[in-house]
Amino acid sequence: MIVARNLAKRYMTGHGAGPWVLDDVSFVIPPRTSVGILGANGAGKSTLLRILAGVDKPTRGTVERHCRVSWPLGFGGGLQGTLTGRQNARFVCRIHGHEDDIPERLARIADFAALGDKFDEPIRTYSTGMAARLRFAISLAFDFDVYISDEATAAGDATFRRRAAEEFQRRAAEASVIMVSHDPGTLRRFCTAGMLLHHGRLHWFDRLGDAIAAYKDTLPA
Amino acid sequence: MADNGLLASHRAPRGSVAVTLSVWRALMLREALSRLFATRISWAWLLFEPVFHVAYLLLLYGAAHVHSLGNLDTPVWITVGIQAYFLFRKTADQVAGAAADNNALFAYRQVRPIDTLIARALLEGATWAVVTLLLVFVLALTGHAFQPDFPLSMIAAALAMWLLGLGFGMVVSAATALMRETRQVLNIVLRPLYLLSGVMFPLDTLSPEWRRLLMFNPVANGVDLMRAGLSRNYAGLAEASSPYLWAWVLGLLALAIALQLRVSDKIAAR
Repeated sequence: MIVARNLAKRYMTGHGAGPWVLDDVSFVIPPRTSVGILGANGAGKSTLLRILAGVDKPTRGTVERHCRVSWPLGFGGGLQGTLTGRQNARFVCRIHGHEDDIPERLARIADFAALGDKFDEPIRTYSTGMAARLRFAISLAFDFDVYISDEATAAGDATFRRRAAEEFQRRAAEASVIMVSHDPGTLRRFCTAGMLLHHGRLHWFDRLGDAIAAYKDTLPA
Repeated sequence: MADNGLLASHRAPRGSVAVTLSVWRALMLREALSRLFATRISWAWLLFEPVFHVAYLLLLYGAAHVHSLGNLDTPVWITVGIQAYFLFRKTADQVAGAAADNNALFAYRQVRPIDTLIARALLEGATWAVVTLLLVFVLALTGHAFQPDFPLSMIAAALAMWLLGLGFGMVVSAATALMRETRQVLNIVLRPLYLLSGVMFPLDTLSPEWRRLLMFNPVANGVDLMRAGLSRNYAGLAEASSPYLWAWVLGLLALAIALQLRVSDKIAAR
């Protein structure tokens, strides 16, 4: 369960405080509920994800995480280009305190990412899809209750996307996902509930379909 | 509380100290790998810079037929001075850039900006110790005895220089988060520090007024205190003061910690 109370966020710009990206947002995400976050570009979806993951701090308000929450799985960051996939994966194992079972976890990561020999090449030689696959595989090597995904599962080729979806569905009994995607199809595959961010406000929908319908209403015709 | 959220269910939650220690360890191993083995000869660069500086100062002093400075063997005087200075300068440099270079890692909430700074300082200190031992070994091989009379006070001075570098780097890192240009400006302003700290030439060749002025610089104090630990016959600078250096260290570290606490959110936010 994740409880967000009165979240408000604005960024400092070069000219002082910017506008409120999130304005007094409160919600409760029940256990084992996968949520899709909808909203126009710049509506604050990624900001909200980063705050839920504990990577960014809200200007006001609190987040309580009563479960194991992943880092935001997305396109940006977390890997160092000069190091190999294996070295990067080992680093993530270490900071999560899994010093003793690194070999098993590395094997799991190598298996799921299916990078072959590339696993021992520097990340900077990877294609975008390969890096995304590695990132996703690393996150799956840990037993999180909630995966926070910023379009991560949309990466990779069709085969990988299918495997990622299968893996999530396999875990759906014990794990859930909070994700941002512009593709309603991706959201439908993973999520049951929806949140719509509009002008700094957040609207909760128990059914994703209602959220998608409401989202379409906010778009200019 | 929040940090414990990531553990596998069969494990007891780690305390925040355990999390921090594993993060430091992971960061150090990662930095060491990327610094030493980024290219086939990356590791050689670590030695190249001090060796080059020592060699070209030796050439200058050799040409001037100076075989002893302040009653010390010239190569030893040069090596110790350069290593004392580099310990400060490189630690400060590495620490100041740590948060910016490791920006991507703040995606993991276990990694806080201050962790990247401290891990870099620890790694830099360890690297320095290895390089220094190698240089001492080379000195001994070439017939320049390295037998400090006061090894403990040399170690204390080295520790002070390292902490001074850490504190200074932390302050610069925080200041850079508030004003992006700080680091470039400081790079230009601090370049003459090498000359002003008595690394290249002994400061007692200057007039007493100038020397007194230059000895307000804590780095110059540290450089001379390191040399003073070498020999009881060393004719050092009367102004060099260990309490003065440590006062700087403590003051700078206090300021650095206060600033880092103030801006750590800003550093992590993109």
